[in-house]
Amino acid sequence: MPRIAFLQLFRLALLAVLIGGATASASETVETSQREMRLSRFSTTQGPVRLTDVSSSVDLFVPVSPLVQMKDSTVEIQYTHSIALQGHRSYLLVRLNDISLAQVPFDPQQPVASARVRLPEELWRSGFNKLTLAVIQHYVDNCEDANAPELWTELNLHQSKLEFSLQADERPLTLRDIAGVFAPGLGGLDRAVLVTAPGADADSVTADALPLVAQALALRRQFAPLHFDHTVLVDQAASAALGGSSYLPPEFAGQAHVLVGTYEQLRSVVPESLSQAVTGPHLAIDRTTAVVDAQGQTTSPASTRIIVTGRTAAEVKQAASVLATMDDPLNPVPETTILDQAQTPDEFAPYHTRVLHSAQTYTFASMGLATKRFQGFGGHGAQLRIMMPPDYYTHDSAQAELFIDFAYGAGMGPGSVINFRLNGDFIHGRLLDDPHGTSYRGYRIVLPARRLLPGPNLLDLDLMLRPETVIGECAGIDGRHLTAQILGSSRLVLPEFGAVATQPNLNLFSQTGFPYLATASNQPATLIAGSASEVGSALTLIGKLAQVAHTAHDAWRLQIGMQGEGLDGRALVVASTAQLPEDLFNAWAVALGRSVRWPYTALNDARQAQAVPEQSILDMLIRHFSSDPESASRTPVLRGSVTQDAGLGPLGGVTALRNPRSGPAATLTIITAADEALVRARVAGLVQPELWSQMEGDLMVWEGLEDPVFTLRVADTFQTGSQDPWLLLRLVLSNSPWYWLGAVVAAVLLIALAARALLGRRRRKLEESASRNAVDV
Amino acid sequence: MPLPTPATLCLSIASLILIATAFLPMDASAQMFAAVVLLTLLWVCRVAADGEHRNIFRLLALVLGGFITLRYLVWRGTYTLHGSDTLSLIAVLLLFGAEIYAAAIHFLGGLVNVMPLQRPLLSMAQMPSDMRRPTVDVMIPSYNEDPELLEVTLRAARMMHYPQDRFRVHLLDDGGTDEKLAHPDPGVSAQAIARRAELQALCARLGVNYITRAQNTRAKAGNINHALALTDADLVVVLDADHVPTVEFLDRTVPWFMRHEDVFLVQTPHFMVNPDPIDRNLLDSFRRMPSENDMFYRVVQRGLDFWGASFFCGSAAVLRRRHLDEVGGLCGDTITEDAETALALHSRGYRSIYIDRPMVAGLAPETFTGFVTQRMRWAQGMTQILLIKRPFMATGLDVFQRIGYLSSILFWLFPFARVIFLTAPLAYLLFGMEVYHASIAQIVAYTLPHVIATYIIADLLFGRTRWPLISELYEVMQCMFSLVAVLKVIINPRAPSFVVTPKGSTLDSTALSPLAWPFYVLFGLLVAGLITGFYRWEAHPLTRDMTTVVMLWNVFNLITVVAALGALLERQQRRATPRIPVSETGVLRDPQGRMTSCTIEDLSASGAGLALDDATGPIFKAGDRATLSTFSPALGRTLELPVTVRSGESVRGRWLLGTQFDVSEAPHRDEAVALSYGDSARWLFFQERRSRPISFAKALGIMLRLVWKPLFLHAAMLIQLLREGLIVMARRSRALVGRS
Repeated sequence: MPRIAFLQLFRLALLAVLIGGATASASETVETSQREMRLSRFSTTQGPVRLTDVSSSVDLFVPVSPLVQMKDSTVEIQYTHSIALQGHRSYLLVRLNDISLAQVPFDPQQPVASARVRLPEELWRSGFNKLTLAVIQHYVDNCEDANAPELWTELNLHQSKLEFSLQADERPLTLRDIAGVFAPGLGGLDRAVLVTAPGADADSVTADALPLVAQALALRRQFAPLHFDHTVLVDQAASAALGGSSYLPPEFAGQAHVLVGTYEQLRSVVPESLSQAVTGPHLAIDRTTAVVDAQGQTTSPASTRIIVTGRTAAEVKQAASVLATMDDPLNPVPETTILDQAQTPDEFAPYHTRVLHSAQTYTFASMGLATKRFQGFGGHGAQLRIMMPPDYYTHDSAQAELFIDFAYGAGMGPGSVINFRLNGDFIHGRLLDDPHGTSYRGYRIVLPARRLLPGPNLLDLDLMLRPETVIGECAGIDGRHLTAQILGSSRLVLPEFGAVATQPNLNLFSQTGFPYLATASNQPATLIAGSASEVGSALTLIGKLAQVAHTAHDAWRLQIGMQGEGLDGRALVVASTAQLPEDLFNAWAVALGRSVRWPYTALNDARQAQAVPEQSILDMLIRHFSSDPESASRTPVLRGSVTQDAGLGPLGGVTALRNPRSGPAATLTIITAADEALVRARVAGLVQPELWSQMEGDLMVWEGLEDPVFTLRVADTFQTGSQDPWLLLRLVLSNSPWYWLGAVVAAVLLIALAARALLGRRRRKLEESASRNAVDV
Repeated sequence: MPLPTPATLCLSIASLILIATAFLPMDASAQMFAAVVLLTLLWVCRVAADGEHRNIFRLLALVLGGFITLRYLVWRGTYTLHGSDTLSLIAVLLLFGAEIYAAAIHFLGGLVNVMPLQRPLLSMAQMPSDMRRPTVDVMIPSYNEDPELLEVTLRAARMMHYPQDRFRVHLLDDGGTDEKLAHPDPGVSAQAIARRAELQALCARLGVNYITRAQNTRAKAGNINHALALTDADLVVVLDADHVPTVEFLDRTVPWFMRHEDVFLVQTPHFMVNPDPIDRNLLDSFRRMPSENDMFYRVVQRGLDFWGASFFCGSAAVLRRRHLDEVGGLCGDTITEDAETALALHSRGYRSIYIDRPMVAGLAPETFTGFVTQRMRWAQGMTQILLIKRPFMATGLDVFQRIGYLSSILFWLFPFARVIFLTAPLAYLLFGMEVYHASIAQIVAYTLPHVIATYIIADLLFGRTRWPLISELYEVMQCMFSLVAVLKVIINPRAPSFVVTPKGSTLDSTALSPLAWPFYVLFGLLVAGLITGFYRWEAHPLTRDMTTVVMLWNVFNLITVVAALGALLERQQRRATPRIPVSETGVLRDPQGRMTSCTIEDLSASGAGLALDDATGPIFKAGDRATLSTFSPALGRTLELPVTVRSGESVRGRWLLGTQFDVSEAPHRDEAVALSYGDSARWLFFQERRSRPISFAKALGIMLRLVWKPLFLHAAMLIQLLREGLIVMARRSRALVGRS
């Protein structure tokens, strides 16, 4: 699987999560107290940052929610520089959003130093803010080698920190602010409560609309996990009896929440004015007022509230669907009613538009990489995200072609190159060696289509621009004239491919949401929560799937409890071990029900076997010949088990298997733990990038974020996909060439036997003829 | 329409299934595994095919090998044929076309030779004594051959065991025709007059009928047809001028005509008593390695015979006059009148018989020019048959006969494929054209098994008669000349004219063949390809795998071409009549009556090489006269042949004598001919002794050992030429200085 590509995504996600430490807490209240965060949280690179050469810099991106304002922010930077630097000409430069704020001179006598720089609040803006730490370094006055090893400074980002406080923006909310409420940056919410009406009337809304709402909100949080809780409206009278004054249970009082239901179901808790407005699917956002008791104590703080409603359950679902697809900036209004919703062709799943398609040509611009210009000495880069379908599969002779339009200017010197990497692997390089510069149109790079992997792929274009070498005293060239350009008109031409995948595959699941999110059509899938208290965890999980797929899947149906038809097809189950039917595991080496069955010998990290990026030809052969499970497959199948009457304890388990209750091949994914509380805790951990990125094989067992994770394959794989039977056949035969061999050998044997009979007959005839009596000539 | 038998039905269904499985898709790793299993099975079947149940294992091996090749072609055709531009695409398609051609020849070869037929040896003695013996006309067409060479053939023909009143020998002289005699060039005319007179005298002396004609129309076919009109025997034997028959030739062939009235042809092998120029100049393994034509005469003709498609090879054959008359004698629309005539008579439903016993000894062309001339004629003639006669559509032939002819004819289109295989790696190495789109894994999974399977099948079918890599060498040596020749035929199918193969030539000194220059060009290109290959390997790390494979391919081509260069250095050849290697005992008696036993090491109609004991041998000195006593199986008695010692030397403990027969008396001449050419058992023994398979590795080892020598020889020759050039220049400059 595309580990490298995923690592990049993982880093982004990790950045978002780390920043999540500064997001608003579950109680939503934006605190104004001073906080501090390590600068390393804003960096995707590990360890200290080393800045070399005469001029060098690092950019840190600090996201800020549009609903908060940064106050009293100061950055403290710990650094070490070379003792060879000249004090009067070497300094550290701090910029915020390209505005220079401070120049800190280096003192060669004190190479280990720190600097504190105040960041003016007026320079902060919503979204990503660029904090630049740059150095200007010199070690001699004349004839300086711009790349001299003496020119270095190390920034210790782990010890460096950003101190700040946040102030909430109290302006009235509009639908445009939903993205800000759940933004992944500082001040964004990482938790939401989904509220539905009690009783059977709300079942349909719960089943169809809740998954959509959860995905819609999770998408706004991009890569950062969004945790959900689910509750039902508290009866006002009962609440009063309990001393409460809100329609939310006390544990959720003051939290941002989403009311989901028909107007009738929500009538008691929404403004009267809404009765006129709800003439169809309806979306609204507002702030609830704080509830203060007689003693003046706030019993329920004010909170952000989103309302997803309509006159019928279908309209509620439609409102949720629009919430999942709408572009927030285009809705600067507090509420809206949907009059009509159309899509052509209507059978396409939203995922269809997110991935690339067979035998098509895509420009870089259409994939998100517009024309990019690189200026000046040093390394530069651009990255293109190529989103292949999760069930992408093609034959091993297929080729993908890149037609790169690029140019570079005059004056390039030795060492100027452009390198292309796909998912971290080098695929092509070219010297930029024309001293007058040149431009290419349709520079063709052919690569085996199998180098593209299901799910996200990253194409890196790395440039190194260096000036000409000039011999002579003080003849250095600073390289400001160096320029190169990658044009957005560059193209990727994809071969024909089909939609076939090998299942179960937790890695594919974690990266793309497959098989629940597929590109072909909106196939229904069931989200099963073992009980009402696990609904929030189940929704958290599909919110995560929506994030990895970058789109919501509108065919999820939520089922509470294990009874029902949902378990008979493609299903995602979040339940405690006690709630899981034992028969699910009958034909399987592992059981995670009331009694557990472990393949103890298999409790080795399967990633060890999968870490080899390329197999040698010998390996390919061995994997078909060997009966040794360790080498029988890239994801080894382990057999043998011990069944014992013991629970999972503190462990959480996620497993995928062929659904034994489904007629056609369907994948069943189960996330479980010993009890409901542990299920919630483990799911909360699972959606964190540290764990999410480790899913492999068909079974993963984990505990805390810092604890070792066990991933392994315990079941035989099966193939799914129906678009191209020929490709499906290829996949089946590739995994089981014995079938093909059997047919060949049988046919060869039959032909040889039949031929022997026929040839023998002819030979006998010839021999008889030869021994005939002589005739007179 | 008759119902198919269960075996036919089974064969059809299983074949369809097998073909279908060849199209089933699979990834390279799985295919690699499957290929290893299939190759292992193929190898087991190959080994078992030499054992007890040889037929079934032979068939299994052929089907398995054919399937591996089919699988490869399907993969190539469906996944690898694309080019980055039109030129590349053309190159890709050309290479694939060459591969399809090679595979087609492979399949046809497998089918034709699936069960080579070994005909029983018949004899006239087996025929009822009261049965009429058919009359026979032995026709020996000649154009420019030496009378001495003709005399041997004529004497041997006269001595064939057959009722003397039932056969007659005719010399058909096309070198002394009226047209030649009246040639406007007085030199040519005088030569023709002298030749006619000399041959008429020879024929009169031997009791042979001399026939010539007015004009040299339609070459050999016209010559024979002219003679057919003047003769009337039931059967016609055609012998080339250098094809000397053994005494049993008629005894073994005529009975087939007596037994089967629908037999129009009995063909026997052409056994060559001298090495061809490639063997002589490079391989030097005439006694150890199967001859180049052994594959055809020892396997392919037998395979064709099984399918009723063995054909007339122009000589060493007997034809029934009645059948010949039906098609107007030998056909002459093409320059391979033999195959054309056989095709015409097969189409009329008559049968041919092939007897795998060498009963005619002939001469291979001595020089590379002669060799190429002969092969160009065959290639052109066969292409003419393909284009003019279209045997695949000929009425009267059954499907297997059509396949047999197609196999024999298509083979001669090999120059197209061979030239493409030689140059395809250069397209990549020199010009960067990607003519073969495949990963290393795919090459290992598909290409390599196909190549291995092809070699295993070739070993199964022809292992004893054709060593690995030898076919490649012979094809490389012919391809460039034959390509031009075949292209000419394709442009104008009726243009080629019959060119007589020069035989019996001598070479005073080792010299470079005049046909060498294309090989120098090719050698230069291949070396350039190798050098750019190294550069490409170094400069383009991403394509190193493919570069390595292509370079290996190029190196293989280079080895073959260097070997070819070796064969282009024509070695000195002073003896016009080749000495045949033998190993027979005799007694040498000097005029004083002293006798010493000896071993006859080599033999010809004019003399013998004898090995004596080192102690007694020196009594014979150059110029001494002696008498050689040895038993002649052909004559069934001990011969007393007077000899003159020409040389004597001690070699490794033996005294080797070179002797010349004193054959001034006619009986002695006959005896010398009978001793040297009269016994087919000797040819058979010789043939059997060198019929042995060797492994691919051994063949490669031989080839690698051979290729170094030609390089040095060519270098020495070029240095010599350079030196001579410098000397000439120095003389000229001295002369100029002297004059000034």
